[in-house]
Amino acid sequence: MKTIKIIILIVTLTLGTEQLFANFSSAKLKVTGVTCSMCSNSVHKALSSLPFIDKINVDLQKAVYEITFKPGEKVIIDDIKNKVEGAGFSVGELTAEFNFNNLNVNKDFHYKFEGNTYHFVGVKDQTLDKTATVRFVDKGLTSKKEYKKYSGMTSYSCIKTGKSQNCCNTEANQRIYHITL
Amino acid sequence: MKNIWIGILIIALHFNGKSQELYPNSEPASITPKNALGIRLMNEAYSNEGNLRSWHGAMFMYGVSSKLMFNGMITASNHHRKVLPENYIVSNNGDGYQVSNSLPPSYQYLFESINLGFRYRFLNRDGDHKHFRMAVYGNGVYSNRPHDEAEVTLMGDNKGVGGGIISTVLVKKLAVSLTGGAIKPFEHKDASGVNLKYGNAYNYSLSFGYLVFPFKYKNYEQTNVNLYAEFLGKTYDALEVTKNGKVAYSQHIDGYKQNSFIEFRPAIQFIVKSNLRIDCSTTIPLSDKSYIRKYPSYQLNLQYYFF
Repeated sequence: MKTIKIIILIVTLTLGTEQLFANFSSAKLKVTGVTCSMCSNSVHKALSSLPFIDKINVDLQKAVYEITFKPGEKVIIDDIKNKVEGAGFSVGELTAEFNFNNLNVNKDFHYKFEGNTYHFVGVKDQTLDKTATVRFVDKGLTSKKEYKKYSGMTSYSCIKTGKSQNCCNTEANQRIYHITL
Repeated sequence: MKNIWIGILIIALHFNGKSQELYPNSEPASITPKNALGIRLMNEAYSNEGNLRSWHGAMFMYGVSSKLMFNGMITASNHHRKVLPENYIVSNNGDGYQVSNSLPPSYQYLFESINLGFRYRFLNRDGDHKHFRMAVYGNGVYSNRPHDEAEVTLMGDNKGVGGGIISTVLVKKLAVSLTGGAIKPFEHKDASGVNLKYGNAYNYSLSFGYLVFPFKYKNYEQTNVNLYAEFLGKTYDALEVTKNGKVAYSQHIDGYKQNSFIEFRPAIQFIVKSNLRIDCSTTIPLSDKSYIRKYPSYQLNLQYYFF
């Protein structure tokens, strides 16, 4: 009986920890500039070296990588960008699945999660009650055209640098990711 | 032969029309992926009056960042002698010296050179299945072989430095790369007492590449087949030969004169498992010719990346 109790305790703790770290579950990455399978392979190998990536399914024809993250591992979005650029290419579009768990959002809402701040750009007032797909609109995480479009939707200057400015109610020079729904 | 290759390229372009920039005989403005080590084994062969002349190089490439790569190369061939022979310079009918034009060829395999270089990609415009990139490159070569011809290279024949600029445009149906560079060779002081003073050389190339197979990318296991058409040109000054400080007449030999030439290098390339690259090409003279090789010459390169 004691053993069963210990097992239950361990299981509860484990599940609890996972719940605590539950963030991005998967992402869809479109890489631009890729025209050969050897180039796609370079991007694939670079991404595979990230500790928080579990699986990658690639559509070679479209240069789209479907990434599954390891549960419980902290996902660093900038690391994905750096790996793509290191392989010699650029991020064209990056979307990710995120479990918000009843979060009320509105235009320019800053959401803090695991030391990073996520700034909602161009969104209507709404409640995100379960998993939602977010799209990154920072420089280097989307095309120049999309960045330009979304940077026009906010008066906050943090979208220009990706770092906290006077506009953000947070410590100076912190990473602010800009996302839309 | 030339027409067949152009015909194949036109057909490939018409039916499929995907561009490729992994040029066998020139470098694109793209660089080796960051933290990846590339090894390329390069070989060239041709017949010289029934005897095989061959050149072999091992190139190592390493991506330091997303913009900068370093490369090193060692080469060996049976193109050169260790030292120029005694009778290399003969008396010019009592009127000074001249270079002998009746030396027996040598086919001894010798280590040739060490080459160190870099490539820096300073411009990158990526789009959906397209890009425009520009890079600068530079190399320095140590070689100590008596290369007794005016055409200079940084592939083992000469010691010297070189650099240039590369622009690569890649859109769905067309991949074009344009390279312009210069070579500043250093004088060779031969153990025989003869000095070979080379002039500067300017190299340029225009390369086109097409994917012919697969029609649709499905996985990394598919072998890719690419066709390339490359046009390589060079302009160089005459070679000045001196012995004991006196100029020996050498302009009676074509290979010692200043020259400009353009070669056509059609190539077929296989990429196995999205990593092993096998390049096969041949060289055909288009305008004048190179005097440091015989035509047709054949090239075979193998390349692999370690991630």
